[in-house]
Amino acid sequence: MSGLNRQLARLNSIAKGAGSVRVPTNVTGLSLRLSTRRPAKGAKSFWRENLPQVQFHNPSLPITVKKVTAEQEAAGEKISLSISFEDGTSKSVETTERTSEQILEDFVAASGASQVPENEIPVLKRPSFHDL
Amino acid sequence: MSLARSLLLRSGNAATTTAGLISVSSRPLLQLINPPQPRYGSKKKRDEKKAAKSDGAPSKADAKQLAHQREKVLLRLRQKREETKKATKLRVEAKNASKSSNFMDIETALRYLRAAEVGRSAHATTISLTMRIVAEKGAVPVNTKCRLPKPLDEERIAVFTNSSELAAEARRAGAVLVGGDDIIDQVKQGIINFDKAYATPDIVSRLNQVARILGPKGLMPNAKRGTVTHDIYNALVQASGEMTFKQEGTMLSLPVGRASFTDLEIVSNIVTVTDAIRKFMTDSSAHNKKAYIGKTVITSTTGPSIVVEV
Repeated sequence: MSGLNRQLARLNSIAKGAGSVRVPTNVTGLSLRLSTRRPAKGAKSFWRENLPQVQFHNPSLPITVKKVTAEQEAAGEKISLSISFEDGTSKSVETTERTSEQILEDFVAASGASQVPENEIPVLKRPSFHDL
Repeated sequence: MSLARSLLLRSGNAATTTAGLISVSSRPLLQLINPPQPRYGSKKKRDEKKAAKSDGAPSKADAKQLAHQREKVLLRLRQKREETKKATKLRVEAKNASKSSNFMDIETALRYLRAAEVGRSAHATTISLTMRIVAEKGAVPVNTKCRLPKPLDEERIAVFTNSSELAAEARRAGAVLVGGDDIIDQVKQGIINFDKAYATPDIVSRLNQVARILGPKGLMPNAKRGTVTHDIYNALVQASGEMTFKQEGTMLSLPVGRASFTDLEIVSNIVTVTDAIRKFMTDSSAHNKKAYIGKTVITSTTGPSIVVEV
């Protein structure tokens, strides 16, 4: 894969994928809390693979990721993905011992997000020989 | 008389054959004598040269020199050809930058970069601009400074002063910590919560107490660096957010913002920086050596790079 192809693949992976969803306007923020004590494979891959796509399609949505230490966890901080709404309520999605697909599915269900139509997703392509 | 005698002796038989007498008149004899030759170098070398001349072929040393010279000329030509090739490549690259598949306007590029940096702390997400400087050979490399409208880091500035007027001025210019002996006492106790320090001349003698603490940290105010001055307001205003940048080879890379900045803040930073670069290029174009900004790429700490137009 050449340099430009790699760049284009990276850019397309930000815009297109399972996480390309649009959250409703009543969602005011997302907060993912990861455990540093226990394994958090699913949550980490949700952060790396899906959250960029969520952020790309919702540019004004504030998303924070926090690593929770053992002491903070003992003090009562929850390991989860919490979704805050306009009316002050919040919903939390379980992330422990779950895969990134399961977390995404639960997040879409809890937030009421909708999939972005295929034709609205920008896809960057290298011009082929015939286009030139 | 002695000269004539020696000449006669050298001429050998010619002198002795004239009736066994040594003739005083040297006139007919002088024509037979060779004039003395100048003697340069050793006789052996001269003989070698003579031999070479008589052959008509160049000596080994001459052939070696010629080969060396030819090699030098060829090398110079090759270098020149490579330089021309490189310059052409850069010019073509700059011309075709907007046709690249990952070319975008800055707003869209920032949307991608913010998505790539999601969940990272604002301080760890530097958005930087990398540009190619296309310049003629001999042009002055870019080395200038400018003040960003929105600096990347807010510095905590401390001002040491005894005068209340200057203290008020310093606070107006954005100093966080202003005071005299109270701050010196704090520093003595090891509490240093500032990134830059200024002082007025009236307190410098008292600052010597903490020179050993501030000095190694690079925080000691110094008249040479312009951090000891009466005109504290202008010194603070001029230095705040000032950024120096320097061309490395043909590339110039500099930070222009954080992912947490708004589009407008980043764009105004980019405009300020490119204006400063262009101004430097026009000011320093001595001997008509022109330079311009070529292909420009915007990127973030962990994000992809995107071609933009500046």
